[in-house]
Amino acid sequence: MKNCLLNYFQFLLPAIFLLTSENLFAQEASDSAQATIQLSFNDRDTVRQVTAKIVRMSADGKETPVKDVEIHFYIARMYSLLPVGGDVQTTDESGSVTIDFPKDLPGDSEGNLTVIAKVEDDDALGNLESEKILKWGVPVANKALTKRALWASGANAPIPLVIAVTSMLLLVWGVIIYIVAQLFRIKKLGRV
Amino acid sequence: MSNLSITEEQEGAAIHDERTHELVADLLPKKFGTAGNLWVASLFLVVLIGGYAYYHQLRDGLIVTDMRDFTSWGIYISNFVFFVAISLVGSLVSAILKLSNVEWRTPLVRIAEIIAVSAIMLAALIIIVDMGRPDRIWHLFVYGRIQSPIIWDVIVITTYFTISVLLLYLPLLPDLALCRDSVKTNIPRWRKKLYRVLALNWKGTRSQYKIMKRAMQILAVLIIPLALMIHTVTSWLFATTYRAGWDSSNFGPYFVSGAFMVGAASVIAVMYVLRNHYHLDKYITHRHFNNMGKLLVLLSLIYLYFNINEYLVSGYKMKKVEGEQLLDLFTGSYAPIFWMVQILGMVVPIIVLLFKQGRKPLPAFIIAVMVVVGAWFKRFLIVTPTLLHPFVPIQHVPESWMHYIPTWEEWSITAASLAGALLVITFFVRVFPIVTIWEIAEERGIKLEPHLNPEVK
Amino acid sequence: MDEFSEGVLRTKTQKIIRTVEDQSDNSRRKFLKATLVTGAMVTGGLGTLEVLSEETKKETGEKIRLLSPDGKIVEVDSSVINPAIPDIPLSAHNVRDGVPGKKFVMVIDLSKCKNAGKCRKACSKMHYLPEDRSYIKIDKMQDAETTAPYWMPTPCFHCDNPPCVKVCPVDATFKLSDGIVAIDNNRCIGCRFCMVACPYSARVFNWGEEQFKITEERFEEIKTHESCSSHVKGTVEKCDFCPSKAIKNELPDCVNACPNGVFYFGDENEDVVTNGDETVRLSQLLIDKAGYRYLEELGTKPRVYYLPPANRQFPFKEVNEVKP
Repeated sequence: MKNCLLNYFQFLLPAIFLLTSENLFAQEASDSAQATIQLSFNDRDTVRQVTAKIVRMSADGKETPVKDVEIHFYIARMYSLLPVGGDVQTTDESGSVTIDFPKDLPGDSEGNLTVIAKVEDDDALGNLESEKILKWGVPVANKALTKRALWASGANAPIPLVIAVTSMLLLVWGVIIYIVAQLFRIKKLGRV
Repeated sequence: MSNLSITEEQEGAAIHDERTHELVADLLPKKFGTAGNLWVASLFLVVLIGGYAYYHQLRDGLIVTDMRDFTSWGIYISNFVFFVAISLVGSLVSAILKLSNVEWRTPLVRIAEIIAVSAIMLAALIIIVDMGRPDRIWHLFVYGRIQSPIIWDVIVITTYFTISVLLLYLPLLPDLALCRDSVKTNIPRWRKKLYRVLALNWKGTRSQYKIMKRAMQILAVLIIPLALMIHTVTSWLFATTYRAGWDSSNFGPYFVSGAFMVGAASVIAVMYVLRNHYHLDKYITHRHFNNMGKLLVLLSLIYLYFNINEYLVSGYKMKKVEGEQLLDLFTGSYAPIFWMVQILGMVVPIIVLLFKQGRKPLPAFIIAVMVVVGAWFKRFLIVTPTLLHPFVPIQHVPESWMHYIPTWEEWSITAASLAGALLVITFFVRVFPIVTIWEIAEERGIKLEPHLNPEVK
Repeated sequence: MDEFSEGVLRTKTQKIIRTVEDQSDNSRRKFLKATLVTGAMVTGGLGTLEVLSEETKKETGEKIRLLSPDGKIVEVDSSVINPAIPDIPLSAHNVRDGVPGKKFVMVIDLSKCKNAGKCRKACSKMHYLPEDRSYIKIDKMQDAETTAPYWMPTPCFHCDNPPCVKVCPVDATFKLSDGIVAIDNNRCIGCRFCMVACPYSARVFNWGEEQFKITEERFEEIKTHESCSSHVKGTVEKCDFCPSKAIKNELPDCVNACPNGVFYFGDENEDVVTNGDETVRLSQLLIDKAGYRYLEELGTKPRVYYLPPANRQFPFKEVNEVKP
């Protein structure tokens, strides 16, 4: 079990970096100091804001804000990360950056969005990342293709077309069948 | 008389008068002479060569043709349209002329109908030849999409074929009985059986005639809208696309009028050959050529009207890609064919046939052949130049993709299809009377064998 | 990720990568499998990793160097790489439905295209196409004699009102819910009606065996499980927006291959497109750069937008025939 855990951390963790396009772990520690990004969200009536605060945990549990660090904000999308919040800002004295968050971003079917704050290639801190899933997106529903249309499958043809073709077929072939029946009648009449 | 082998098909039972004997002897099917055998042999040869070419195509794929990604339809499709066009003549003579009480149509009805039936058969065959995966043809019936114009075409063609066969068969019944009842000394047994089975116990009774004539009336009414539909739907294979030259609301009537024109011409051509070969001068007379000539003029004028609509209206606007395509037809690489088709295939026939001299049998025959040949190339001009003018320019492709010149396989398969249609007609003429004996008898007051007399008008 | 060792790393993330191991001739099954995977949404990447880690995997001692996303070289034991992840049984899923919740869209920036031809090369390689055929055509366009010429790449537009789908008699080409217009090469009868119906000349046909012969050299570069379409003689093909890449959350090859960032690709529902470098909001991009669709007036509603060739990055140069 211990061996397993060891494997897990020593070998699989790097593999996890490869596996995931976006890191699934929040607050991943870099190899230098234990700095973390704390995310907080503020949803007032008129505006939504995301605040990211970088703090460094010292050995005795004291939090020191880190300033003048560039933080990038993203939304997780299917293929890539969408930058939000305008130009990249640096943390102020309290170690935080606040950006305005757009209200019209589509989320998944329930409106969930994954908000990510990242520090990229900082000299002191290296790479940091933090993310949070919340319902700040517009819910998007993808309707299945059941609408009747000319380009739909055969079963979903427009009703007028189906009616027109079927009725014409029945009418014409009804007559044809009648005529063929008449042929049989001719044959019967001759069998004297 | 002539080279009739009367001994083969002699009237056995009581001959009521000389005229009956003469009528029957003239019109019952006759053996082939040298010319006939040569004709059949050469048609078979053409079909065989085409069969070999098709084997190539099945083995190697459609790459044996000159069709490529831009010219993805070629002479198979234009040939298909040509055959569907010709097939409308069945409805023209059997139905339209009948319902208009045009009396002189009688000897031509069966000719027109067998042309129609054989044309439809070959249309179906040639469209299978054009498919990339003919082994999957059953997909059309199992997975068919009712929204597709191809499915509409399949439905209409099948229906039209069925009605045409019925229109061919029903009035054939009394003649089949005639064949059945003739004393047959040299006819092979299979033919005796064929007549007997197909004649459906035809005894010529009043009730049988009544049923038959009423059925003919119903079918005549039914086939007219169907004939209009068959070629309109075929035109929609083109008109439902966006392509320059095809994106026209004019296509339905344009195609239908062209179809009637080429159908009428084909009847003139076939009736001339049959008349000459079988000495049917008493039945297919100068009057018939005269009247068919006049009919052909009328149909050609209607077609000319739709041609003008089609070309003048787009030519007036000269939209970007459509204009380039039109220039290609009027003055570009397709100009020779285009003007030959329009002039020799439409204008000259109209002019010649306006004169009584032009409506004599031989001139009419020559004109009819010109019309038919012109019509074949006209369909080619409808299909190919449009495909060479797509919206997206044709660039960075092999040079051969910039034009379409059919390969020998395509030509021989096309020729084989035409030979096949002629073979069907020839076979029919060999086995069945090509002129409706009982109707002629009815018209001329000739009594056939008592039980074959058409008592009921 | 391409520098991996031969044992291609099969991973489980949010989607499953299905190993199409059955190389039988049955291309229908291939198609079925490929698109089944496209439709699959897998849960718990981590969970399955845990499953893996709990197996008693012996360390082979053989180390393999891998590249992590943040640019670090990491050495892992080869036992970690599992080349043959067993197929997780997928729910009964209709292959004609598409990836749920997505609506793929592409934007092509004509101001950046200089006919480098890399998109065509990558697409041909991806789909085992021979030299003279490609699903993407790059044409020199010149709207009028007095206007400037420009290069325009045209893949299939996967229209929302697709004329090709309308005319198919056997339902061999069809519209998926994720916007892709797909082809079932086992259903196609080769009538080529779709080819004449498409106003953008997007479709190509397998006229004969020659058409999709792959040379020995090209075959070596091709990873066996990357096939996106099956070449069946006598049937039609076209660009398919690379669903086998979408299931791995990867962009289509043309998007990745373009050195100038011409192609943007994304999910319309997410309102985001990316060309690998930039990620932008789709609606904003189309407004800012006046996006339009080719032959809009035909009413086909294409899913590919163009950004006009304004403020060009490169002057127009007639390049010699670019070999695919």
